[in-house]
This record gives sequence, C-alpha cells and structure tokens, in this order.
Amino acid sequence: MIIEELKKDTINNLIKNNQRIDGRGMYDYREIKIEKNVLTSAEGSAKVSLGNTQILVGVKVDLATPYPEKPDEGTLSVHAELLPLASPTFEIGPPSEEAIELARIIDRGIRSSECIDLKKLYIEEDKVWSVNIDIYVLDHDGNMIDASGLAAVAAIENLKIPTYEDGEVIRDKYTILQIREYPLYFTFSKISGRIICDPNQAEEIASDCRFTVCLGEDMIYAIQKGGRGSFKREEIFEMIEIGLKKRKDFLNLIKSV
Amino acid sequence: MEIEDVEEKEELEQIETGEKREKEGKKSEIILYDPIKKRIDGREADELRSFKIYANVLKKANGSAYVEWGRNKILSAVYGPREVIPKHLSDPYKAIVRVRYMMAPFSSIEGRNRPGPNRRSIEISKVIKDVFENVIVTSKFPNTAIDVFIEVLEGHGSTRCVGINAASVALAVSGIPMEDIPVAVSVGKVDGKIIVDLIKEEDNYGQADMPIAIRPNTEEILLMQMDGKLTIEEFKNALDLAFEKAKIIQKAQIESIKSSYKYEG
Amino acid sequence: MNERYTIYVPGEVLPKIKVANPWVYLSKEGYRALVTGVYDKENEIFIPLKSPYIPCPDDYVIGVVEEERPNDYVINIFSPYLAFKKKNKFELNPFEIVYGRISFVTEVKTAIMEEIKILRGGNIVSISPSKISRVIGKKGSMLTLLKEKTNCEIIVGKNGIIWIKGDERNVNRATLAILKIEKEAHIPGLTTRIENLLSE
Repeated sequence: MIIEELKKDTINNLIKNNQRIDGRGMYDYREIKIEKNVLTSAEGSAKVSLGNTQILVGVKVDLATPYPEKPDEGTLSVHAELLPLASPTFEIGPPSEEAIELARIIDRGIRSSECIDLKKLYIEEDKVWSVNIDIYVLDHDGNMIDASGLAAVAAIENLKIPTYEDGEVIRDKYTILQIREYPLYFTFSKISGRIICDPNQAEEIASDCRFTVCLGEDMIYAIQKGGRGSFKREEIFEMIEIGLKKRKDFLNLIKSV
Repeated sequence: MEIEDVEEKEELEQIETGEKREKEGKKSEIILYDPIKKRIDGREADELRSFKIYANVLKKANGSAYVEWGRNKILSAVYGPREVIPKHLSDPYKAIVRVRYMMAPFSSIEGRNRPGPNRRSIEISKVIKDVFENVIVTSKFPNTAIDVFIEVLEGHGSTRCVGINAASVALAVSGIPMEDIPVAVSVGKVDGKIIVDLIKEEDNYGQADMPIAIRPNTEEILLMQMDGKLTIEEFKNALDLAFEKAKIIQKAQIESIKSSYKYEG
Repeated sequence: MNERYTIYVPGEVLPKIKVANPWVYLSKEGYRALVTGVYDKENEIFIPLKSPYIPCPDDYVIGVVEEERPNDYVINIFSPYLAFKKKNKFELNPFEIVYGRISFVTEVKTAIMEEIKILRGGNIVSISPSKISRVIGKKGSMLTLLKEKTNCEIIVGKNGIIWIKGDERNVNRATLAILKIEKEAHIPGLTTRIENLLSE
C-alpha cells in the first residue's frame, strides 16, 4: 500500500486547511448505494457500496439449540471475512484481528439494540432459530465498519424465518420478521488533530485513531475506539452529535430502497 | 489452507456421507427429465441456463469478473504477478499459480456453510489451478505468484464451471499473459437423457455429472471429472455436447471483456 | 465508428504487426494476443490495456526506497520485481521517491539502478506501463500540455509511475487527466478531451 502511505503528507497538509484529498467536506460521506435481497439462497441479504468500498452481507437462518441461560430465545452470530480478493493487504488464512474486530463491532450494535426480537425465534423446547450474519468484504477502500453495518441492517430488515414442520426445516415456507430498530454506524478518524467522517483507505492509513458509534434515534448501542491516538471528551460528544444528524439521512436512504 | 482439527474433519465426512444417503433416498421421488415438461427448470436437454458476465467489477484487484448463471452468483478476482509469500514457495523458473475456490457461508439454499476451506473446496481449487497453469505463460514471471480467487456468493449447481468462466475473464483483463481463455461447462445424465449445464438438483439426484474445461482454440481438455455411470456412447455424446456449448460461452466471455472497454460518450 | 483501434482478447489472432513484443505469441495462424489490448491499425502494433512492469535495461523508472541494507538500498519499482541501488556517497532514506536508470537486469529479473535522483515533495500516480507513451504523447506533446495547463512538475517513469509536484488543486487536476488518458487511450479524440478537461 505504498502509494497510500506516500499520500500521508498530502492528506495531513490538506486536513490542516479543512480539505480532503478527494475534495469532500470534513463531514461528508462518499456516495452510498444499497441493494436489498441480492441473494436468493440467503434468508436475508444486502450489498452496499460506500465510495469504492463494496460489502455483501448474507444472513442464514438455521435450526439451533438455545444458549442454556436463554432457553426461550433464538441465537445471533456475526462473522466477517476480509476476502483476499478485496485488497492486496488481506492475506489468505483464518480471520485476522481486523476481521474479528469488525464482526464483533457489528455484533454489539445489532445485539444491544435488540433490533431482532430473539424471542420470536423460539420454536419449541430446545429448538430455536439462529440468525447467522456473514459480512463479506469484496473491495476495500476504507470504512468497512459503516458499510458493513449498513449492509447488515439492510439484510436483516425483513428476515425470512423458515417453517419448522415434522422435524424438517422448510425454507420456501417462511414468515417475515421485521426489524424493530435501525442500529446505524458512524465512524470518524482523527488526522492532524482534525476529525473527519468516513475515511477512505488512504485517510485510514494517515489517521492516528478512529471512533465508531452505533446509534438509534436517541440511544447509543455500541462504541469502539481504535488506533493509538486519543480523543478528548468534547471531541467524542461532537462526533456523537454529528452521527445523530447523519443518522436521519441514512435512515431515509435505507428505507427508500 | 488446513483443516483445523480432527473433530472438524470427522464432522465434514459425516456431512458428506449424510448427503449421499439423502441423495439415495430422494432419487426415486424426483423426476428430472420428462419428454413434455423437459428438465425440472423447464430447459431442453441441450439448453444452457441464461447467464451474464461482467468484467472489471472491483477496483483493488488486478482483474475481476462477476457472473450470474441461473441462480449462481460468482465473483472472481486476480492478483499478480506479485511477490510470493512465504518465500520458500517461489519457483525460480516461473510464476506459481494459486487458486482459492470458496463457497460463502450464505451461498447454499439449505443451511449455512462453515466459513473456510474444506476438502471439497480444496480439491476444486486444485483442479481449477491445473486449468490456468496450462494457459498462463508462467515462464515470463519467475519468482512470483499469480493468485486467482473464486468466491461463490450463491451456488446452484456447476459452480466450479461457472467459477472457471468467471476467473478466465478476470485473468483476461488483468494483464497477465495467457494463450487462451478457458471455457468450462458441465454435462451429465438424468433419467437416461444426456444434458448440459447441471442445476443443483440434477447434480445431486442425477445419474452422472461431468464438469469439463477446455482451451477453445486448440480444443484441448484442461479439466475433466466424472461421477456416476456413463456408457462409452453416452460419454462421447456428452463430450460433443460440451464442446458445442462451449462455443456459445466463449463468445459471451469475449463480448463481456470487449464491452467493458467501450466508451460511453 | 472507431476504426484505428480495435480491442483483442487473449488467444485472438491479430492483424499484421510490425514488431513482436512480449504481449503476443506466434501460432500457426499468426500472432495471437496474450493479454487484452488494443491493435493500432496505423502503426501496426498491439498494445496491452494493462500490463505488469518487467524491468528492462536503460529504462528510466520512478521508485520508492523501501529498505536500507548493508551494501545497498531496496527500491520498490511497482513491479513484481525489486530494484537495488548500490550505496555510495549519496544517502537515501526509506519512503524517498527516486528517479533513475535501470542499468542491468539479472536472470531472476532483479533490476540494478544507477544515476539516482531524489524527487522531493510531490505525489505519485500509478498507471499501466503500457500507457506511459500515451501520457508522453507524440514528441512529448501530451506531457507538455499537462505541464502547461496544470503548472506542475511532472516526471514520467517507464514503469507506469508518474511523479507530480505542484499545489494540491493542480496536482489533482493533473492526476485526473492522467487517469483519463489511461482509461481512454484507445478511443480517438483523446487530446481534445484532455484539453477540454484541463480548461475547465
């Protein structure tokens, strides 16, 4: 990623003048495209492109046994793959710490917001539905978190829950479980002391730290700070405010598709 | 790419045998070919599913292609020639070709697949590698690696063939020298009838399944696998059918490449 | 309709070509393409649309210093192969952008560089090496156009790397123009389109 590394100086100089390398405003997101129900094999799916970053999320609903401490609830899991085809920096092999962090951030927001009513996934004693969300990063140009979060929410918005009949799972007979809340993600980067929204890959490389917040209409569901730099308290409040404002646009976008 | 532990290995073997038993049971129930209704999806015996090929769909990869083939959705991308890591794998006389064929966890109309390689995907990756090693001029790039990725986002029968068709296009636009663009198609037999382009149910419950990949200009066969029962006569007919349909697929591959470079005002 | 340039894909038989190059191969039926590229009827030549850079002696290339070793520097020339520069009185540091000549290429395609010049400041853009001649243009005309209209210093490496130095806005304009040249080199009327783009 040496060309991106070399852009560090340019990015830093521009940021000090409140300018970004691709001409965006400090709080502007790149163009977002959402497609829902892109896979017929999955019980939920969506593809999101955020600038040149492309993410596909597929959701499979399978038969499972509940967790012992929550016997009347379905289960939820989130898994992410940084496919080696998405970037020369992604290696073949088991999930890297980056992939695991991504999955866990998205998991926290979806779980805390209770946007999926896990109680509705109860079938009978010792049998529940498990919702398995798989994030597939197809093309990496920065801010995989926000794009993955958006794709995951679009994928579970109208989840097809199969029918369990006579010991068999029948997938072409399903009921729709609608999402109860929209946990949406907003990631910020700090570069040369300034805060920007939606860093692209070159900006990610140039940044000291990042802050992600997952928001409901008036609620914070998850937070993750990453990188070796630091944030002041005022900066954190500022970022959350910006996130809440942006959330309205994101919500309209996701509902309009 | 290693299978992590013995437990997992046993689990997978159980799944494979379980699938086989399921196949045996259901075979008697399903009618796969009927002179009036034709195949279960209504196709003629010698009819390909409808498909679309898109070249250059990803920004980071050196070459990429996306194919929708019936209900299959397969994405392929190529990186290279690039430095070999780990170094001990490099060949001082030519580029090494590595293929990774993977099915996404959400790619099956049944349950979720566990992510990561399994015995089936490893074997498929290997036979696909043999296809591309044949046509890529590896001698031009010693001590490098050419990585071909095939990701099955949604699978519905003949994914290795569709995967090869996608990867061929990705390679063709990547700038990596290759003498020809391989074409792949599956042929087989259901209810005594020789068919082309097997859909998942035909693959699971039919009488024979034979994926083939060829080098179109020389008509050489680069991949051939067979599973089932075919007489010599049936085999010959199936092979002829494969070559005939490969011409159609080749045309579409070439068209998809050329049209991705057309200028739109 | 575009008649001067036609696209050919790997395996296709090409019309008559004046000079064989690494991107074609000879078969019974004539020369065939090894990569997707453009056949130029006027010059009877086949040019890849995209290709990796293979080091060649006497090429002037732009690279980035990667590593210092006891006797030499490792230079990234954006190729599957590395370049090396023997140490002398001039010091090089990692991340410095350098311009130099490839004096020798070993059997394993490692490049040895000489006559190194450090390019300070500026940014680099990477395009396909096969498009570099188009960025330079006939007798340097395209490169002159780019420099004049953007007021930038521009140096072009045969390995597809271009160094641009100027104020940020102009560097951006030059970059966009260069990427456009890469994308549309085989479509006639390019010079006019670039002139228009840079006049905005």
